[in-house]
Amino acid sequence: MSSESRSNLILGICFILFSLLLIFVWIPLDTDSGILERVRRQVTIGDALAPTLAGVFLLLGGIILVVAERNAADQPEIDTVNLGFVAMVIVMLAISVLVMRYAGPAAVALANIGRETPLEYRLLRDTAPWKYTGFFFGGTLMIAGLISMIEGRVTIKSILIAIAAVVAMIAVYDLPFDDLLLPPNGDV
Amino acid sequence: MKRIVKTAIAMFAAAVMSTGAIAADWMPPGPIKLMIAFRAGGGADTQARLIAEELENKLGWKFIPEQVTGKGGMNMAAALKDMPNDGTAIGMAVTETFGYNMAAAPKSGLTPEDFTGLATTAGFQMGIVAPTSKGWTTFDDMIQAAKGGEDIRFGVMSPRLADLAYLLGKAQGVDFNIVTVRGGKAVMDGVNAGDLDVGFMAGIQAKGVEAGDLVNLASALSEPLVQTPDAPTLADLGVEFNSDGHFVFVAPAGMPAEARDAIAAAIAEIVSDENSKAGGLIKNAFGGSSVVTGEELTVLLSQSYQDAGKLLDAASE
Repeated sequence: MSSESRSNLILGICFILFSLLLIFVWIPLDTDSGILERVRRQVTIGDALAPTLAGVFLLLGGIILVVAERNAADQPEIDTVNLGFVAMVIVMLAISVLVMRYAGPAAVALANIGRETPLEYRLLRDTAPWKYTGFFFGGTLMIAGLISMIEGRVTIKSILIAIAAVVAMIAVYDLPFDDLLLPPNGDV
Repeated sequence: MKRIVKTAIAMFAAAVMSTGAIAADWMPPGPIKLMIAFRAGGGADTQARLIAEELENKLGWKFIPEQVTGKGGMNMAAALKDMPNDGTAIGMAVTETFGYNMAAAPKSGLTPEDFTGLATTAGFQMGIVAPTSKGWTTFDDMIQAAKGGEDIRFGVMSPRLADLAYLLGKAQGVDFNIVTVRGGKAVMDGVNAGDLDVGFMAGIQAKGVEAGDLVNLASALSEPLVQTPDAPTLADLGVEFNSDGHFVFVAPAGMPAEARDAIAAAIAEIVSDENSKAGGLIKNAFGGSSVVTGEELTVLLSQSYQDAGKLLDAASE
C-alpha cells in the first residue's frame, strides 16, 4: 500500500472512458426510442433512460476517483500480480459460464451418436437429468475453480465442496418449483 | 340416391373424426414456453396461468410460463417472433398489441403476419367510468361539468385509449386532461382515490358499479355494456372508433396447422367451460368467454392492424 500508487487515477480514467463509450456510442446504437419519447401528445420514458442514468453514475464515480480520491492513502498497487489475479478470475468465470451453457447440448450431441432420431436439448431443458447437466458441471467448475485459485492448489476437498454447494442450490431452487428453470435453460 | 347420401355422411363423419383425431393426437415435442405480456398477479396473468395449469392437467402438456412485459405487449411479441413455431413457444397478449401497438411502432418491424393467431379467450367490458361521488349520472353530466370549467382528469392505460379519449373530447368540444397510468387497476385506484375524475376500465369496474360506488358513463365498445346497456357507445358520442378487443394467444408465424388446431381447440374448450377455474375467472372478470380461432382470427388481427392506421391518422390531426 502506498499513497504514491496511481490505481485510483487509472481506475477512474477507465471508468470515465467506459461510461462515455456507454452513453454516447453503445446506448444510442442499441436502443430505439431515446431518453424521453413524445408519443402522440404524451411524454413517456424511452428505452435509453435507465441505461443512460446508470452510465451517468459510472461517470460520476470515475470523476470522483480522479478528482477527489486520486491521492487517497492506502491505494493498492497495480502490478502484474493483481492484474493477473483479476484476469484469472475473469477467465475462470467465463469458462464456467461457457461450460454451463454448452455442457447440456454437448451431452445431448454425444447421446445422439448412433441414435436414429436425434434428441434436441431445447426440448429436454425441463427433463432430468439433462436439465441439470450445464448447471452441475458449470457450477462445480466455477466454485471449485475459485477455491483452487485462492488456495493455489486443486484438492478433492474443494471439488466435493463445490459439488455439495451445487446440489444444495438445485435442491433449493429447482426441486420445489415446477415452473422455474435453472441456468441456462431459460435461454436455450 | 340414398346410397350417395349415406356415402356422403360416412365420408363427412370420417373426415370430422380424423380431424379430431389429429388435434387430439398432437403432442408438443417438448415443454411449451408461455410468454405472458402482463404483469404477474393481475387478472390477465392469472387467466393465462390457469389456462396453462388446466391444459397440463387435462392433456399432460408441460408449460413454462414467464413474464415478458412492457410496451403494451410489444416486448413479448418481439421475443416470440423468432422462437420455434413447432408449438413449444406461445404468447398471450391482447389484440391491441397486434393492431394499434404494432401500427404505432413501425420501427419495431413487427406486423400481425409475423404471428400465428391461436385463440382469443375473452373480450373486455370497456367502460368510461366515474365515481358516483362526482355526482354525474350520465355522460352528458360530465361534459356539462367540463364545459362549466371543471378540469376533467381522464385516466387511460394505453396509447390507443389515449387517442380515443382525445377524439372523444374533440367530438364533445371539451379538452380532457388525459393521464396515462399502468394498467386498468391503476385507473380504478386513481378514480377511487380521487386522483382521476374518470377513466377507461375493461371490466374491473363491475363490482364497483354493482355496489353503487362507480358509474359506467359510456361504453367504449361498438356495443352497449352488458351491465349498463343504457350508457351511450362511443359511436353515439360522435367517435367512429372503439376499443373492441380480446385477450389472445399467439405463436410465431408459420406454425403447422396440426399444432395450431390442437392448441387452439384445447384453449377454446377450457375457457368455454365455466366450471373450469379459467372459465370461471373469465366469466366473473370479463363477462364470459369470447373465442375466435383459425382463419377468422387471422382476419381479426389483420383488420385490427389496418383499422389502427385510420385511428392513428384521425388522432394525429
